Amino acid sequence: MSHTPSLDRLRQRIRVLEGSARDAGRVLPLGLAALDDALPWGGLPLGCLHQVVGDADDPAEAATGPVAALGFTALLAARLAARDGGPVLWCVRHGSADDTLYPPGLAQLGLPPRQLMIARAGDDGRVLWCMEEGLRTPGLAAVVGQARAVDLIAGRRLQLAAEAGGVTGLLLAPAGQGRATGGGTGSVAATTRWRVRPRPAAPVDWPGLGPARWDVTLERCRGGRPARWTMEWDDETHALSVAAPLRDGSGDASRGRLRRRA
Amino acid sequence: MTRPGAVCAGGRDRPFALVRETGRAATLHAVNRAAEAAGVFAGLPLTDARAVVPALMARPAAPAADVAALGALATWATRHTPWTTIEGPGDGGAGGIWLDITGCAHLFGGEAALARDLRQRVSGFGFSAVRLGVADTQGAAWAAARFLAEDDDGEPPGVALLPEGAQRQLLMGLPVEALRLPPDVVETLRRLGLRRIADLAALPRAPLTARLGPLVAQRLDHALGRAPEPFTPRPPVVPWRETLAFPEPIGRTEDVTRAIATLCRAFRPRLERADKGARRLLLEMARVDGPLLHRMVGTSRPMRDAGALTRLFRETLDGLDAGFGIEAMTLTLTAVEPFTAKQPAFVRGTGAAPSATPGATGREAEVALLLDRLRARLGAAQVVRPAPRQSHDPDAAVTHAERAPAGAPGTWPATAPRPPRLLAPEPVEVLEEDTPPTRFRWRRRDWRVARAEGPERIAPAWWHGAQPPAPDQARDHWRVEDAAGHRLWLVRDGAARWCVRGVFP
Repeated sequence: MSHTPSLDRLRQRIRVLEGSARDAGRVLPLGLAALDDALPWGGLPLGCLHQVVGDADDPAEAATGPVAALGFTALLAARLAARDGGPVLWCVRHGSADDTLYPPGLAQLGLPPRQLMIARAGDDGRVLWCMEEGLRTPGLAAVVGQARAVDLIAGRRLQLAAEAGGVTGLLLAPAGQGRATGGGTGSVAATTRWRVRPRPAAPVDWPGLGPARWDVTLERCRGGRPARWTMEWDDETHALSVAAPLRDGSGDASRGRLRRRA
Repeated sequence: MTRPGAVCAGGRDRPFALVRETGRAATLHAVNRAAEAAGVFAGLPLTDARAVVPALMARPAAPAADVAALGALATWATRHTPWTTIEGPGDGGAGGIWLDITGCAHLFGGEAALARDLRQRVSGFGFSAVRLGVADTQGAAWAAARFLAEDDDGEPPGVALLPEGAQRQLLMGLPVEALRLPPDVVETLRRLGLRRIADLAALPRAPLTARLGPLVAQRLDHALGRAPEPFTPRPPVVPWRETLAFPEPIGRTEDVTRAIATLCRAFRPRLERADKGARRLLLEMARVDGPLLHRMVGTSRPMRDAGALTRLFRETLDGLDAGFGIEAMTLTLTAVEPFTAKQPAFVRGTGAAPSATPGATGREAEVALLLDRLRARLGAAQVVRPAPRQSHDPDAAVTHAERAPAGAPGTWPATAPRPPRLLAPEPVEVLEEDTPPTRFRWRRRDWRVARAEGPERIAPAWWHGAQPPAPDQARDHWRVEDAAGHRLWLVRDGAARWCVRGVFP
């Protein structure tokens, strides 16, 4: 923290001009030092769009859908709901593979039924319409949406709606997407993009499954650097923790942060 | 019309009675036919009735609810005549409704046809013994309904139609109770040996009035039409309906929207006076070439803001085919509720207690408006709020509520892990047998189980259904993980088939 106040002000002005993090105070600290340090805001910025995708190359994911990404999204939405107190609107396409949400499972990820509303729209256009309506409603804690074919314009619309309404949007990749259609990973003007893949859990002493492990990659982050972690979700203690940072160069978040500030 | 026999809760063929506290004892207020056949009648003390019919079911009478139900029936009966009212407490006690059908009968094909139609419709509401009397005067009609209408025979059944000018002869033969007199007056008349109306009519007026008060002579005159009896109809119910007719047909969505806004604004003063808001609205648009287009929207809380109501309708106007144009629009509020009724809070006692913060109600109102918009566009059934239900069966543990039900449990009881996606059971092809299988094929892919956790046995709800389920209907649930870390919820059903039931993150 050796830089001058004028530099701080300048940085703040740039952020305002960029349109993201208009009010820097609205940030959700994720409570994990490794993640919060990698994000230039010190946490997940609110009132903007975040994208969470799975691994479209994984043949297993073609069968299960991006379920690890779903778990991570639900955790983020649960944290937003707990902080805000308002409900979360989850928009899916009616009758699609995404329309199998099971609220008791979501409750175990921290999202209580009292704060969950599910909107089932007839087609992708309506899913996006629902998301946009939700993002413009300041009473909501977060809006989660799963739609195919989210192009640049649609993503920009969602981003603007989120900034106008101050509601955080989570764009989750839909199920049943091959590589050919982009797997819902199309380039979207989201503030951050996370890729979440399952990893084998660490063996445990008892006959059973240990905490689920995910490989979480922060692929894109406006004003920040990509980073990668292996995270563990314990369904008994409801604790998310960083299992081990991956030493692949790009993942060293703290170094990236220092370099950026220098 | 007399009030039908009390409808019994546990089937019509069992003795049932409504009981009222009179003085220190409970007496029967009304009985059904089965009870009547068993030998008990209204006015009997409950203890005596129980001695006669030990199986008598008794429930407290609710006179206020009776009056309210009669009022609703009288309001409904305005479809036959604008002048309807209910019998007051001075009319002999038994509840009934009056219809002044002067000048209306011909619209229904005559008095007999009107009476038959009315009786049929009222019977259709579930009133078992409806009796009607049609006569020149209110008093004669009252007497005819109670003493001349036969339940089973007569043409039409249950209706006593007194021919015009013939009241006098018919009334003379009836007992004095037919004059709508209080029970104590009837008792005195009987002690005097006056049993029939003819006996009473033959007496000189002055001593009768001196002895019994003016009521007897008055009722006699009312019944015979010698003195007019005022008829006080219930205040008319104005429907929540506004119509707009256009000098030129309109077709553009903007024009339709503007017309809807005009209609919504027209309700506002009346809604404000009544302190009510609209819950369901029906918009009918008459196209020039004939068809009537409907649009219906609902709100999750009473609302009277014209702008918000218009926005709800705008979501439904997408596929509107105005054809050659719309010439008239009618907006009806099909459900109206008191405006002060607040929806229960979305969130209670969680996190930062948002209900305590200022503006929380404003946020809830915004969310309610959002729900209304989504429901108007997607359909009410497509926007759901899950609510927990006490069940171990994974399929039965969730119920979907349009509105958060009050008093529902906050969340599910802690169980073994549940998947965030629950699939309909999809059979797998087992490649290497074990419990659970170590290799299987599901959705065109080979899965190798590296680790497994289970079983969690979930038995079917044996307390439902007549026969206990076979023990092999219990289902064993396993959580399995493959070498890459994908987690599935496997279930072995009663036929020892393995199925995928869900996916875990």
